[in-house]
Amino acid sequence: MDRRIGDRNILDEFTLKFCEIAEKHVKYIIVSGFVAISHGRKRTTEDIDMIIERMPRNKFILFHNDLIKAGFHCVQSSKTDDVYEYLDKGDSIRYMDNDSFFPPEMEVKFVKDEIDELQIKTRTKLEFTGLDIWFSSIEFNIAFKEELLKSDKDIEDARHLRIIYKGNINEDFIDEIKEKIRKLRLKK
Amino acid sequence: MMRDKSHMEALESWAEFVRNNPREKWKKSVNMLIDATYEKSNEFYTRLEKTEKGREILERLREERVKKG
Repeated sequence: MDRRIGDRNILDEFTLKFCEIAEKHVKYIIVSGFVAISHGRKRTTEDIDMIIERMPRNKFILFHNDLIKAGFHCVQSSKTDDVYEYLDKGDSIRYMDNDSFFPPEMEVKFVKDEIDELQIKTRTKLEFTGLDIWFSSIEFNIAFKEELLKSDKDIEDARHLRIIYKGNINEDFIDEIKEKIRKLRLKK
Repeated sequence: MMRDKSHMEALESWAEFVRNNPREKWKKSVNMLIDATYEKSNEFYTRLEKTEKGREILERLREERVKKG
């Protein structure tokens, strides 16, 4: 079934549909690979990463039920309480479209530390992408990819974003984020 | 370790093109890459589903994905 509209690809459509529901329930951000891809990076991905604010079980159930109604299912479990337990103990949960055999998947996790809290606080919509969804800032994405993730793919994503936003990147903010990553994630 | 220099040069050249041109000039080729990848994998999974052995493989793949979480 082809559900694509205009200049959107399968990842755009999947992400827009998911984010439209998330928007009604929780503050969220899309981070990492899809940020680079939606800025024209020529690669694809199986997982789109979403961070959401922590929420109590009763609110999460409403969010989860709306996702189910919209045609998503959780890969790990069909039991809402189990799904919440995964999130609450710091694991990610993954949702797929019922029509798909396999990915794309939305990988959702709770904010886990002050870095994530700052990512949510400084979230932004990125006009360049043509997608009306919330992203973590370009500085956050570059900092994570250069300081923490560091695979070839991540370094290339960061380079791509640096070129797209040349002259509009707050390097001091990137340095500040990298310092936090070293302290809180790398324990240096 | 970074891939060879020409790989990064090609990546930078594409990023410059994206930066300097309107979305309609670059988005189509990105979409083709992404959509074709998904269409090919879905064709493969659809073929697998048609045989008993294929369905066993699909089940194992699904189990692996659940474990990944």
